[in-house]
Amino acid sequence: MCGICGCERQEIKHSDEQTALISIEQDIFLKNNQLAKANKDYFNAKDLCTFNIMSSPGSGKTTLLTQTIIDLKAQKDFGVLVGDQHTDEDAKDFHKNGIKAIQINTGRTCHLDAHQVSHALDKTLHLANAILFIENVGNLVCPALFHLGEHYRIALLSVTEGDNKPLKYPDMFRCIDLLLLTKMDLLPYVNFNMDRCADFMRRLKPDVKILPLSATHETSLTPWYEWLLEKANAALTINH
Amino acid sequence: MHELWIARRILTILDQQKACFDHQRLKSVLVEIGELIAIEPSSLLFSFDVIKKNSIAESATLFITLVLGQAWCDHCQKKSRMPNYFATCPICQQMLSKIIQGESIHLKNVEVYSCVEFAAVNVKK
Repeated sequence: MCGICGCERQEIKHSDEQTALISIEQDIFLKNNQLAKANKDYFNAKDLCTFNIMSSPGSGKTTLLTQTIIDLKAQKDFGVLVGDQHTDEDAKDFHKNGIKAIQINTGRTCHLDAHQVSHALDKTLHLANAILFIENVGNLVCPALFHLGEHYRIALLSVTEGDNKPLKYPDMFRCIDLLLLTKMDLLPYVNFNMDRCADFMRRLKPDVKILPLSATHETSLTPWYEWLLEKANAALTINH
Repeated sequence: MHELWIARRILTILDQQKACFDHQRLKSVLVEIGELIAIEPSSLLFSFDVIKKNSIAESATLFITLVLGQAWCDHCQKKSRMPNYFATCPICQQMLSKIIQGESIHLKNVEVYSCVEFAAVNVKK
């Protein structure tokens, strides 16, 4: 067998100098974007307003979502898809509080993609006319690249992380609709300048909305709830 | 770390397109990466080399070309270079928001060893 081209023919001259170019021209994210579109069609058909929640690990995503759902469950149905590399700790936490949640384990990957979300939807949360939170893997880089079919993107930034995070991770912070500054109860103890953070944010996205809050102390949650319910109701109106 | 995901996608696309290059061995694979997208070329090269073993692309070298970031300045009505997301218009210093290019990643083409065609050329002579 020819060691160059792999063919068995002896009558031709084999050379590694002769090559041919074959055009492929394919967007690497095409498949993910197609699956994201299919997810979005599903969300729209079921009247699910979907929020992709992203942050570093430990910014308080699970704590905030749990508190939010407990406070708003009388007004709206909720479900959570929660992504982590390993374990179903987060899903268990949600279940303890009577919240419908499905755990997605990403294993070796550092983000959720549309394919993983579509499989989680197969398991079904039996949700319709509700708010669906997709709690992404804690990571400020990779999740920004992957559309999941969500209607809105929200990033959490806890004050313990530092006010320059938007500067350091522009890919994440430029693609969001809302920035939630969490753990505000710790602000007096850390070196976090709210104005500096807002300035960095506006250099990336001038019209971004920023809401400071504390989920554990249950302070300043109302503006966040109003934003959330307004977006959820607006999405439903557009659908019909 | 998502570079590994991208390397896997490249192998999947090549596998789906293998009818195009018959069973000729691959010499190289060309990927075009936008300057603004959060993909590290050196990580992608490393990931590709790790996972290409025993795949359709085992014999292939990955080549990456960078597509420069460009944006449109609404104020000056001009195209401008955009090397990063904080870049401002070099003329009016206003924020650039309308990105024209530099945010995508494409598998452009593959180069295959084609000894057969080489022979055909010789016969004609």
